[in-house]
Amino acid sequence: MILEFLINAVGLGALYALLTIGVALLFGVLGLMNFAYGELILAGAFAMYLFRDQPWPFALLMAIVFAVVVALVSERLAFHPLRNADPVTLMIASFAVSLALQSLARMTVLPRTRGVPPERFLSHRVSILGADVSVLDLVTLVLCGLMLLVVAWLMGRTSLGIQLRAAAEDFRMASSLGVKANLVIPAAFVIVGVLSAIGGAVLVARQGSVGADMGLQPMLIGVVGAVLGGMSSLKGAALGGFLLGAATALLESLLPTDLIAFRDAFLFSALIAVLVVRPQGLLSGAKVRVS
Amino acid sequence: MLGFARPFTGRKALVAAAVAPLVLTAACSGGSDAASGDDDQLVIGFALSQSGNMAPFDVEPGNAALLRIKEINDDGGIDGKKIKVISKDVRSNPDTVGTAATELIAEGIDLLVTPCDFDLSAPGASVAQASEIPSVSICAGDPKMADTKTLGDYVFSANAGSDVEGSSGAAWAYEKGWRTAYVLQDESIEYTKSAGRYFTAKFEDLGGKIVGDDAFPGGDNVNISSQASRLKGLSTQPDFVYVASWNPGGATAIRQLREAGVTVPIVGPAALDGQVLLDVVGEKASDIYYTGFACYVYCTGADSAADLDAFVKAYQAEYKSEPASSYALLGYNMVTALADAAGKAKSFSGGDLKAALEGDGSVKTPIGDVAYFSKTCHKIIDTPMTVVEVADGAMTFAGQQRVDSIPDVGDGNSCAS
Repeated sequence: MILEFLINAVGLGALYALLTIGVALLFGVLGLMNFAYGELILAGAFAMYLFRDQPWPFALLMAIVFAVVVALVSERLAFHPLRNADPVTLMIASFAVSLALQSLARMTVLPRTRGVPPERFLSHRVSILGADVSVLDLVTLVLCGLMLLVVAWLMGRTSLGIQLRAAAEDFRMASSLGVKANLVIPAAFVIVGVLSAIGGAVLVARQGSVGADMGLQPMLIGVVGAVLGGMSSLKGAALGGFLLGAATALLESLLPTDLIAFRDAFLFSALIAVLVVRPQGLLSGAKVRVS
Repeated sequence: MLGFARPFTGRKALVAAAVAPLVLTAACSGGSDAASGDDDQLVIGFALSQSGNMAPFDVEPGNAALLRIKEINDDGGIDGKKIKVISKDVRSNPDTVGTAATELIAEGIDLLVTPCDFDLSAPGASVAQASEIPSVSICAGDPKMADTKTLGDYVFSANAGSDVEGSSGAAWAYEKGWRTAYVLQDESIEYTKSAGRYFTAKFEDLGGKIVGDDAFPGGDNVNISSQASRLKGLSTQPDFVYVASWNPGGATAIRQLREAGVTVPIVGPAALDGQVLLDVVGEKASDIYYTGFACYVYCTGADSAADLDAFVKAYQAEYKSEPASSYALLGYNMVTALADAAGKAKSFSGGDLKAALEGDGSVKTPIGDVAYFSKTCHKIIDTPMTVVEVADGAMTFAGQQRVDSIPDVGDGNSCAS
């Protein structure tokens, strides 16, 4: 029972952490609070619906392709022309992109919610140390954990990562030292596209449905997790997302039935309490780029 | 957290309260100098959503209603009087519903049809109430739509309601020999809450026992693994679980229950109906039942399959696609009931139409005889609910269930006994 709960809580935490670093990465590099993040998740989820009859790994690959393409196109069309605009303008632009993509999806391919049947191998259950665990929970945990490690490696050990971090630290200084904006920014969008595709695929596997507004809630989770952990620190954002997920699972387990409807009220009260003590977030550095 | 789509129900009358005064003044100043009271034809105003998040719940019932109107007109109308329709798109927006109702009334409608949802219907119904024109929600399920007090005595709903759905689910399970139930309550909307409440009351009235209950927040992002493991941890499993929820979250909850290894039968209300449930739970899931309005298209084996097929064929011929849920049939049946009442009315004035609607209006429909509206209960009074079984990737007809009484749960429901 306890092990089942732990795997569930850690799995949800890892998923939320994944969602959160997608938000934090663009905020760090560009100062862009990307509200269109939810629609990147939608693009990935839609690919999972479209290729639901194909093998799951192939559908996942297509989800990554879809989300990355949408991310790059939105960068080129909407955010590139606004590169020197202030963060508020960028934020409003991302709202516009979000609404446009959502409406487009509703008008064309998703006028109503579509169901995606469960994947046979994901709905198996296995016994680990006496606990009865679903393969989906394990896959969530492994996939999200793996992605977090990959991002950590990418940011910490590669030249691209160093350039991204430099750009996040001080964009103007980094570009005068030779960091190419036209490389770094699209690279950040590609990473965010991959992250949101994985997030979307996991969400579809858990929920079994794809609808035009399905990205809204994961996007909010990402934003809230990033605020909790600290917007300017990827580590902090991942921690914030993880805590948010784990706390959600914990509340679902501990709250009496009558109060479960108010789960989010408890969750956000706790969030407010944390922010009163640490307004800059749990692991934020000294500088916060909030306008 | 922030559910966008919220069909069938009641997010309080707050919106209505905020909007009603505005539209009331508009209605008064608008005047009704147009063709109202002209008895050569029955003019029905359709204030439904053709776009926005309620469109999936309004478009098909609205289309089916228009189809029925065409059939009646082709048959010579109501005693020779044709039905004329004026439609306005309310874009799933409560503000627009009030404005649309005001405009329609100014254009001289005799009857107003409002969306498939209590919250969306309320502003339109308030305007019609002020002008003493009957308004009928095409399929809102919340009992508040029909109690003649919340919105007024000119307001009707052409649905049986979540009270009937919950009660029929209980009656059907009890007749099946199941005696212990576990209730999994979706807390997101009024519809699901009343379905769960009436299920519990009816099942206990019948002599069944609720052995446990649990809840989840519902909405777009459903994760019930904690609830599922609590249910699995019970020392004795219940005979079945009642999942008081709606699509797509309810379908997700059922899928997660099955994936968590909960194998007892599952029963739920009509808002689980449709192809999407089948797709979400997948081919492996079975022993799932819900009380819907009809069994067609994605569901086979209905008692009155020939009549339902005729409806589906006619619908497809007109709109080039099959209905995706059984809510469509509610719109079709509604027009039958309205035309029946209009045929009995002394004139097409608001008062006479209301009196005729409240008369004993039992009509023939593709699912059998359905009794609409009485003086105290402004919704479907007696209709067979269709119990649909989901198993191995297919939906089949499992029986029809009527309930003779709705338990009184103390919520002011004038349709309860």
